[in-house]
Amino acid sequence: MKNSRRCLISIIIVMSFFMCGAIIKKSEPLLDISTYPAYQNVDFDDLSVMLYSNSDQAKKKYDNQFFMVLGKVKYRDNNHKGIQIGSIKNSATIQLICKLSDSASDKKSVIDKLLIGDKVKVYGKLTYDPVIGEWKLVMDQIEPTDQTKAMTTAFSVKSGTTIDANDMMSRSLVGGRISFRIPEKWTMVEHSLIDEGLGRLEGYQYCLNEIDQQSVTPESLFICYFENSKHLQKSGDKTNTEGIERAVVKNLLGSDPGKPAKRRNYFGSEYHYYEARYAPVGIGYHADFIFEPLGTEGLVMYLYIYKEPMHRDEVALVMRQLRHSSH
Amino acid sequence: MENKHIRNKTVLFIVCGAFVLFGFGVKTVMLMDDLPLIDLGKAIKEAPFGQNGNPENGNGENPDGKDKDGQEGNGADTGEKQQQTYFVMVRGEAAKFNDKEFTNVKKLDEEIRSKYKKGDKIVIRDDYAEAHFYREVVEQIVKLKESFKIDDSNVIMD
Repeated sequence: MKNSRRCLISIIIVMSFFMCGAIIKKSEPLLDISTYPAYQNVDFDDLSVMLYSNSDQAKKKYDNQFFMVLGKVKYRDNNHKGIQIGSIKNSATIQLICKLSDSASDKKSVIDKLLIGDKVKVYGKLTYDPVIGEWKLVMDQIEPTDQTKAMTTAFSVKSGTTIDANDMMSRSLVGGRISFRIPEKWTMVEHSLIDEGLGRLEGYQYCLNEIDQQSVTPESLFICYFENSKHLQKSGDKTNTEGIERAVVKNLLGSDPGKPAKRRNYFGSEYHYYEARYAPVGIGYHADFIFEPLGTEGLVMYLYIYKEPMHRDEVALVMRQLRHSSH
Repeated sequence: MENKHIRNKTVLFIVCGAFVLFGFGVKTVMLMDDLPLIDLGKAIKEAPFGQNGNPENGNGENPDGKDKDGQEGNGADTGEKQQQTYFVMVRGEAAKFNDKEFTNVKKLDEEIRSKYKKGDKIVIRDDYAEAHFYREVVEQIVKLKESFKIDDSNVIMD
C-alpha cells in the first residue's frame, strides 16, 4: 500500500517536471508581435507634429506603438546604447531619445559607426515616460540610410521589407465589419473558402508558395471569421474566448493545443497564439494560429501553415492592416 | 504523523499544480458539429502550380474580381492581365456575381459583360437555385458566350 502510494507520488512529480520542461522550452511564436512587429514608417518632422500638436490624444494613440522613424543623428551616448534623433530638414528643435532594447544590444556596433548628422532609420516601440514627461523610442533596429522621405502609409518589418498600404488591395469580411489589405500579388493566389467549397468559415486562403511560382511546397495563410452564433452549440460559451479558440484548433487538427501565448496587439486588444502541427499522411507542417476576438460575437482567425515561412514578412505586414469594428 | 501530514499536503499541491499546467481549468466549448471548419485536406496540397485549392482556378483567380484597393474593375484594363475565373452562384431566385447579388438576369448579364475579358472562365454553380431562375441565368450566359465567342471549355456548369 505504502509502496504504491510512493509510486504514485513519484509519477506525479516526474510528470510535473516534464510539463514544466515543455512550458519552458516552448518556442516563441513566429509572428509574435513583441519580437517581430510591423513598424509604421514616419518622418521625424511628421512624428513631432503627431506627438506634440495634441499631447493628450497622442498619449492615447501612439503610446506603445511600433514606428520606423526616419531622422538625423543629433547626439550619441558615450556608452553607445542610445542616440537622439531630430529633423532631417533641421526644421524642428525637438529631439527624440532612442535607447537600444535589451534584445538589440548587438546593434551597438551600428551606433559606434554613426556620426552626428547621419540619416538613420530607427525601428522601435514608442513610449511616453510620464516621470520625465517625454517620449522615447525603445530601439529594436537601427540602420544608416540615404532615404530622405518616409510615407506614413508605409509599414516595415525588421528585415527591411516595406509595403505601402496604398499599393495594397482591400478585402472585407462580415459585411465590412472586418477589413484588411493584401499585397497585389496575393490576389493571384486567393481562394474564397465558402465560394470554392474549402470550408464553412467566411474568409480567404492565400497559397503563398504559388506567388511567382516560387515553390510547390505548400505555404498558406488563412484569414477568416468564426461567428459564435453560427458555430457554437451553446450561446453561453461566447464569452469563453480561449475555450472557443481551443475548440476551433481541435476541430481542424484533432487535438487540444493547450494554453495560448498572449500578446497585446497594435489596437489594444490581445492576440492569442497557438503553435501546432498539421500532419496529413507522411507530411508535417507548422500550423500557427492567431486569434483576436471581435467582442463576444466572434473571432478573427489567422492560420499560417508552412514548412518554410518564406512570406513571414508579408504575413506580419498584412496582420498590421486588419481592422475591425471593435478597434 | 506529522510527516504523513506534510506528505499529503505535498501530494495535494502537486496534483493541483498538474491540473493547472494541463489546463483543466478551462471549460471545454462544444462546436455545433464535428464537421471541419476548413477542409485542410483540400486546401493544402503539394501540387503543381495552379492546382491548389479549386482546380478550376489556375493562377490568375481573383474570386472577388476586385481591382486595386477594392475598387471594381472598369473593364478597360490595358497591358497583360491574368486570366480570371468568375463564379456565378445561383441560390433561390438570386445570383451572386462579383460580390453583388442580382435578381434581374439582365442586370447580371450587364455586370458580367463589364468584367469579362478574353480567356476568363465563368463557372455557374447551382446552390439550391429555383429551377426556372437557374434556367434563365444559364440561357443568358449562353447568349453572352455566343456574342463574346467564348470557348466551350471556359463556361462551366458546376
